[in-house]
Amino acid sequence: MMEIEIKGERLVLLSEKAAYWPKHARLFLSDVHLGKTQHFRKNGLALSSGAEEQDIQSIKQLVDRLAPKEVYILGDLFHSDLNSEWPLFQAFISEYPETQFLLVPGNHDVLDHSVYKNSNLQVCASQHFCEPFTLIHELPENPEKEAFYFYGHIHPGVVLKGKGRQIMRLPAFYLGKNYLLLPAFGRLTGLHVPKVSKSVTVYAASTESVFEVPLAGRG
Amino acid sequence: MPQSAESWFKQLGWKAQDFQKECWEAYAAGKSGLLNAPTGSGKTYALMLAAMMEANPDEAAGLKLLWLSPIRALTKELELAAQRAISGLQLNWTVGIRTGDTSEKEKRAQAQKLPDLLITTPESLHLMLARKEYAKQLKLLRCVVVDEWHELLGTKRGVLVELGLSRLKGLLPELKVWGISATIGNLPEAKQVLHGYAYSPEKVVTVRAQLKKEVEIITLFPDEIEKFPWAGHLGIRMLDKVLPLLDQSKSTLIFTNTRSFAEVWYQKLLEAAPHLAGQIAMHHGSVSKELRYWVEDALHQGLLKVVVCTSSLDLGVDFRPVDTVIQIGSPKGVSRFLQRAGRSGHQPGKPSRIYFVPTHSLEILEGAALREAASEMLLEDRIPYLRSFDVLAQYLMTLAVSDGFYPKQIFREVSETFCFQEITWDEFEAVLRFLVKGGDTLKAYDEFHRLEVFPDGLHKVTSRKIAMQHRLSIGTIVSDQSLMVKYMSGKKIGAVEEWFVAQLKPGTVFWLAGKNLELIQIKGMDVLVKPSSKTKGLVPSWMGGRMPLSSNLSFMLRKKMTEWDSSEEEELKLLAPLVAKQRELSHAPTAHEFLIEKLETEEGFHLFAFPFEGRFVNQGLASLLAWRLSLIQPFTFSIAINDYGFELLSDQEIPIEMGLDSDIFTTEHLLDDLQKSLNETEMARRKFRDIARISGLVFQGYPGKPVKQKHLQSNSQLFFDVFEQYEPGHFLLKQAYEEVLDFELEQVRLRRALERIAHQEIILRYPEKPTPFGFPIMVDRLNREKFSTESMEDRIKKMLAQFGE
Repeated sequence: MMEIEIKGERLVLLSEKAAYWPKHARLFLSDVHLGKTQHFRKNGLALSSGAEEQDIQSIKQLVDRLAPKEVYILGDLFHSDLNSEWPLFQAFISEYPETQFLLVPGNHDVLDHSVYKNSNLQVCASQHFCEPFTLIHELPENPEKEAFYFYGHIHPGVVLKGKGRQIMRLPAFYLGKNYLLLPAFGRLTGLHVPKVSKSVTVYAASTESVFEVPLAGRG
Repeated sequence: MPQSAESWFKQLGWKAQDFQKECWEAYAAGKSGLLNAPTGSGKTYALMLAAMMEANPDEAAGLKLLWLSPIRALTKELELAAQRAISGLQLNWTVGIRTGDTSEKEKRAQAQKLPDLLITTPESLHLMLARKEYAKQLKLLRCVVVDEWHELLGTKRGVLVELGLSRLKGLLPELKVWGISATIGNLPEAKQVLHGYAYSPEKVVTVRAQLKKEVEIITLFPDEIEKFPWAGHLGIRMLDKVLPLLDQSKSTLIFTNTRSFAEVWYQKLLEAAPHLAGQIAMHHGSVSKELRYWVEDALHQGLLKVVVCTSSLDLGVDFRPVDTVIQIGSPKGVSRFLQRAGRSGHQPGKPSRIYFVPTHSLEILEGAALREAASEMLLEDRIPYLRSFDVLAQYLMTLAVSDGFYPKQIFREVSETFCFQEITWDEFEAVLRFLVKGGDTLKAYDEFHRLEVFPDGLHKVTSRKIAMQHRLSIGTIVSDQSLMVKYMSGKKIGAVEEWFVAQLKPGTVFWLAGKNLELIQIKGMDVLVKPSSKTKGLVPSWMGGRMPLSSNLSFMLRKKMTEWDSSEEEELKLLAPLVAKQRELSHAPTAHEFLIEKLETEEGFHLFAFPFEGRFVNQGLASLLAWRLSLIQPFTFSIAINDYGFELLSDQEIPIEMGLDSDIFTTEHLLDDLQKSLNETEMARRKFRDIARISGLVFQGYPGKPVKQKHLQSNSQLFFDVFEQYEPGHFLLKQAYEEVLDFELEQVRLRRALERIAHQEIILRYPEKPTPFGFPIMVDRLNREKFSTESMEDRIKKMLAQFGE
């Protein structure tokens, strides 16, 4: 866990690769990519299920622990066309009538609207204002001046280099002057290491902790 | 009646050699066999004519003789030889080639009717089996010849041959199968692998051509050993020694160990000797086919003075004008070195001569080792693959996309191959379940459709999409995704890999196929370029496994080290100053000693050990040592390897003394410890990439629209992780670990190495700085292996503490 302050608001970065806003009991996560194993299987590639049931399980554990009022998913919740993973997810969210699940759609969220309508998932506009933050899947090319964005999409990670030629790659949060970039929540996702200026703060998420990566340690 | 081979030979004024006659007789008696004969000995006619003499002028047209060749470049030459024989023997046979190069039009014509003699590759044989009603097309087939079998043996392409033959033998019980192999260490085994267990032993003969050739090995020496680098692979400092040889020779082949070294040598040669322009060319696997064919033709005609090449010219037809061969850097094995030497000196009675150019100081010793190994004919074994379930999965799909198959029958055929001699019905069923249900777990995958089972038990693919994807995926050569480099006119120059292209911008200059090229733009899978006049440029490099020093050459190298002070050989005498330096800093081991060096530098704590066993076994020993040290306390190591030794590098002191006290090199629990150490490295994960592609787990994409390398890689990683977690017993996962043990770590050789170390005296030294032996390993920054038994949280804590320093 790592507490940070943005625009006077206290936020908690979680090692589960999500961010939590205690004041309003809001949970933010991005890029879950459910349905990927089924997507593979449909194309004749064998992959055991279980992996994404585990992703759903991870969301469930967070929701049980934090009891958020709202869970915002910043895009790419579902990897592809409709498949049997969807009902699993639907069943999961309907177990939590007290929690509102909201999706800010991303490039992978291509399910038909009627599918979302029949679920307890609320689909927002592709840019959703959540005072004082703007939730979006990808950072716009021309960001609005006053806006502070929460976004995902690029599955950010960081490379740490230590003595004895040690190298470690970890998912990471990137905090810039007008954005918080979230790591991908899903397990079946890769890592991309973005090039950023020194003024950007990088928080790495390991299995049990979140910590700030000092400038000297960024590979 | 067609005339006999002997009378045709007589007309030509040729005399049939004994081994040719032996083949003709054995064939006529209905036997199968293995012919052991080198390139250029008349081996082709030994078998081609045997099969042709069986021809009957009244029989219907259709495939009678199938000739499998490992490389396409050979097929043209074979076709010419076949045509000459057909007219010489007055047959009404037709001959055809089918490879990846064959035009669509010709392929369609062949689909109607196959020629009487078809020259093709193992992959194309499987493509034939993937066509509907293949059995009908093959019903006249009498013989299959597998050319250059030694090249296929010990690869998964060899397994493709075994499986293809098992089906043909199942269809045609009278089929004769012949192999042609150069001399290798395990010839009897080569024969067994080719023929499997379907024939009774008396039906299979071995014929040997008794041809022995003298080879002269000359090491080129640097002027001053003191100034010759301790580390390096390129050897460009020896350029001045190479140039005079080129001037003295009519035509020279220069072999380098990698494609990028070939590019660099080519440029440096031209720089140093501009008069070579127009008479120098390059030949390697990433040069376009058109250019390669041109180089081969020009070599035949004696138009080229120098060709810089890689293993791409190891195989194939002889180039008579070549009179000098130069090997840059270690050839890694005795057989390969002699094969290359054999590319020169075709005049009868004249010895083949090969020059060995060392690229760093200790490598000079290999010159002496090679000479003795060659004189004793210490040729390497080719180790055949066993239980390659990825290839089996692919083969079953192949049969399923054509006419379908019944498992019981195919199981019987498959279990008569060498590769699958020990397969059980349970294992076979697991592969079937994988293809039918998508997995080994009991959970049904409703959305998985690949192979369907009909009520009568027939296994068949019905989806056209899956059938097409499978046909595109046949083969076991897994290459990294490459992009074609072309001029704007469309003329192809060669191929570079995706990751190399990623670092180019328009205007960037790079070298390829000996040309300086400027990037204009990248369009889909094409890299468009124009000639550049700049003399500096990036040199592409290509992924690809590095061969380890063979056990025979390693053995000889260790033997030479026992003769440091006694030998009169020039190599050893020249090395004396280096040995003195090694002794001053540490110790120069003999074959009875095992040297370990421990030191600390700014980088961290180093441990060097020198088994002199080749990089694979050294890798295995390094992993084993890392694992056993980590039982003392958790460790994170960076491991570097070369053919002579290995380095463990850590951020904390390495308690090797404690390890030696507790017999850290014991062979007890070897397999168990090795397997555990494997879990801490990436080796099995990397091996799995190939297995995933061969078995059809991941699809490489359609022609012209391939799946990006990055995606392929992350997909196969994904499968690996998911299997590890949910199906740890999956047969493909097990295969990945077995292949690492057998081929990456060479566990049989590893065990022997440990037994040897047990009898050696262990010498532990604490040099103050890196030694001539250790330095070349220490400076390897690129090919390092990670090993860690520390928890992620602990490693992070330590790293963060270092950053604070």
